[in-house]
Amino acid sequence: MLELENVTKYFGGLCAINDVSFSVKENESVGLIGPNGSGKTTLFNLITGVYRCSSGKILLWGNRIDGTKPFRICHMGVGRTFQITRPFPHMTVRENVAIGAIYGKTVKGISPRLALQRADDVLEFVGLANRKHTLVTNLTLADKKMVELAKAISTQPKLLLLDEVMAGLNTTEVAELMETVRKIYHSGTTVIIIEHVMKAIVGLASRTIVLNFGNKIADGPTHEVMNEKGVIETYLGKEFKVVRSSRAAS
Amino acid sequence: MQRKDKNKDREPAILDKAGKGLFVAVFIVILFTLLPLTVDRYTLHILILCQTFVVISVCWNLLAMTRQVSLGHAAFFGLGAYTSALLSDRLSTPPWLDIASGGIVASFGAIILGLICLRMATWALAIVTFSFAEALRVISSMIEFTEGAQGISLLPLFEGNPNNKLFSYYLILVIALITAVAVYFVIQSRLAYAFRAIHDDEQAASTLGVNPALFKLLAFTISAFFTGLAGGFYAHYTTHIEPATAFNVHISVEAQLMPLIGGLYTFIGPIIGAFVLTLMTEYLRVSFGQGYMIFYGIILVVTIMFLPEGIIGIYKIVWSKVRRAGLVRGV
Amino acid sequence: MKIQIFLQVIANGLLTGGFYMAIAVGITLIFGVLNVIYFAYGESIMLGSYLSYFLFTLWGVDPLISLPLAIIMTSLLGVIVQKTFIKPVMKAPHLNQILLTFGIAVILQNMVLIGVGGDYVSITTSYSGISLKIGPLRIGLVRFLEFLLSIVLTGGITLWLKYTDWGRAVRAVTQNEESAKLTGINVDRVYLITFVVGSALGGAAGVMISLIMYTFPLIGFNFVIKAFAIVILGGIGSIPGAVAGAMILGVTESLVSQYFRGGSGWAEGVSFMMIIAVLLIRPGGLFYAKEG
Repeated sequence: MLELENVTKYFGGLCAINDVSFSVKENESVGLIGPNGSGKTTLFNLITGVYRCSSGKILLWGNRIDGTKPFRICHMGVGRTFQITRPFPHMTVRENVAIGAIYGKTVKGISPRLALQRADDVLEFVGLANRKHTLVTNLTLADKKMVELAKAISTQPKLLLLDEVMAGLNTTEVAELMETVRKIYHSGTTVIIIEHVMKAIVGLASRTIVLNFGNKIADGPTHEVMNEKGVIETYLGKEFKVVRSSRAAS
Repeated sequence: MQRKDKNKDREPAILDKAGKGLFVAVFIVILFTLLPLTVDRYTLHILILCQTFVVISVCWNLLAMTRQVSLGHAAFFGLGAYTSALLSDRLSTPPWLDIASGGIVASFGAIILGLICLRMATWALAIVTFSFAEALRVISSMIEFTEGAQGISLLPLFEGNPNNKLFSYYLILVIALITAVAVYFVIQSRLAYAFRAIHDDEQAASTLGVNPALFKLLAFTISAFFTGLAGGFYAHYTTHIEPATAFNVHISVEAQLMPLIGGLYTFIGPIIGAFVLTLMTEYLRVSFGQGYMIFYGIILVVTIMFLPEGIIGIYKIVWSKVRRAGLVRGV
Repeated sequence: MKIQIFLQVIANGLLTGGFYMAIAVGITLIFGVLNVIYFAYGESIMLGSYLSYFLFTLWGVDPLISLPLAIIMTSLLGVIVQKTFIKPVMKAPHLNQILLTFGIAVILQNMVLIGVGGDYVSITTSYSGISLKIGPLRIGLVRFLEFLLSIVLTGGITLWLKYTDWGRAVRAVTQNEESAKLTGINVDRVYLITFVVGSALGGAAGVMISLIMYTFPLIGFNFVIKAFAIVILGGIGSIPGAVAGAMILGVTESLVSQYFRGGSGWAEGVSFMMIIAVLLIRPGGLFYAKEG
């Protein structure tokens, strides 16, 4: 479904992504891990069209999407969250989610009334229905993260890119969010998850890709990758044994 | 925390709701239609100015909703005015055609400018629009095509008709109403969602499927078109335009001041601001004379520093205090 | 003959450019160091010009002597403006800065308008009409002196930035405010000084203007556009860029004036076209000065 071929990205003299290639099949759940600054978010930005590749190709269902504008990529079915939540500050939760519902599939968009109904459905799904008229700026961090997720799925994406949605949450909140992501995955969406919270990667991703300094250094089933010496050294720093979780989708 | 929870049941309105507003609106329209029949020529003139500025104010506000701040809205006003004047003078076209053409030329200007400025930061656009208006002013005062600094004269509207001022008023009233209705529909529609999303976070909006270029250009074009109509009308009404009046910085300053004091990003705010400011200008011009703009500079400075939401902001503060005191149930 | 006209046009352009240098460097400092869009910069120029006019008309003080007085006056103005208005909005969005300083500009313009009226005024000194003959070219003495003066001022600023303690502090703050704070630099003081120096340059430019063109309360806007055009062309924060941009603007205006029909009118549009062209092609300008 999604293919990256020799994707490279330079920022001036700095190489952020160096010759990265991989492909993601439909309805896979892929984890993307690596130390800070290894290029994970940059990769998401490249896929969603926020940045242009310096070289290489990105294909979605066989069509090249590198160089395409972000809104078109969204219409093709790619949704994402941002690492630092970016809610539209002067609107309510419901209105925030409605935007994606209106414009997520077409340039023209659908009627606000329809969109608000869809937004309500999404909010019901993620469990934010009781907060729908609150201004986003008045929410807790966990709720804000959930809104970010709700916005991303309001466009009904087939490929969902989650960028550190768990960051800053406590264990209960992480479990809740993981449950929601699981629901999304099981409804047929392909997910790529950037995380530092290993529990989430292990619990949600059947396969994991590891980046370091913009290079792909590992790509395989999650429990194998986690135990790989190179990965452990560069990223985890010490021995970290992973028991293959039966709940991880495979 | 209790208070905040009470608020959660009430949708804060960034998009004005119809309903009770409709009655008020119809009443106001009727008022403005019948009122002029009873007033003297001078007051009628003031009302005409008010309506002209209502158009400019509402348009500037619409553009600002996409985070495109124009410091040179006089450019579109002047383009409309000059198009109208040139057509009337050189080709003797009927006024309605001149005025409409004024709007069209102004929108072309906006499309071109908008395309150029699509990727610019807000401040860059502000500087560009300002320079655009200034450039037009200076150039039109020096080239032959526009008759230089002396300007162009036009035949008065409804010449020979004893009620010509009244008919002129109805003409601008119609233009103002069309503008208000058009903008109202925009604010009530899905466009408002797009505009606001682009205003708050263009990149995030883009990843949600909003095409920023389309909506920014759309806002620019609509804004310029009606402002051009107002300019076209003004040229005919005053029967003479020149660079100093058509592209005057005053117009640009007042264009931003009206929505600012009336209530930025709301529907009724720019309209209120237009009336307040036009009346204030007229009063100041008569009693204070040259240099009255100093008050507008002061208002601008004070508003930016203390009152970002304008009069509506004060209204909101008072209203929420009244509600919290339990005097009025939630709306 | 044609070559001679052409060279004269270029020469005039360079002279104008030299003078534009002064206004550009001022804005470069304010925009580059404080990252503030100071729309009221033109008013420093306007006030300097009026001061020169009044000192000359009332007491016969030669503009070149009013120069230091203008510098002092606009410095004081700079202090007041910076502390009252600029400081609170330094971290605010650029847009707010523009609207605010635009308002300040309007206030200052109208204060002058109320105070002394809107008539166009100008100065003619005993040496106003003298021109030097250098080769086949005629160079106005006043313009030539102003050209030199601008070079001196620009050079002075450059040396100040490079070799004095405060100058180094300014550069440090421009590159990285946090680190500068950590090394004990009084960042607030640096901002104040830079703003004042910038304003003072405007005042100096104003005095120069008073000798070569007429003055009226609204000339500020005209110059602020040119200043921004130059800075955007030359790169925000770059003094060499400002110098280059000033020259390019001066020469281009001169060429347009000469070779286009109705030239002097279209010449005013040059700064506008320049702003657009540069912002379209290279949002950072032709020279980059800021790292990162």
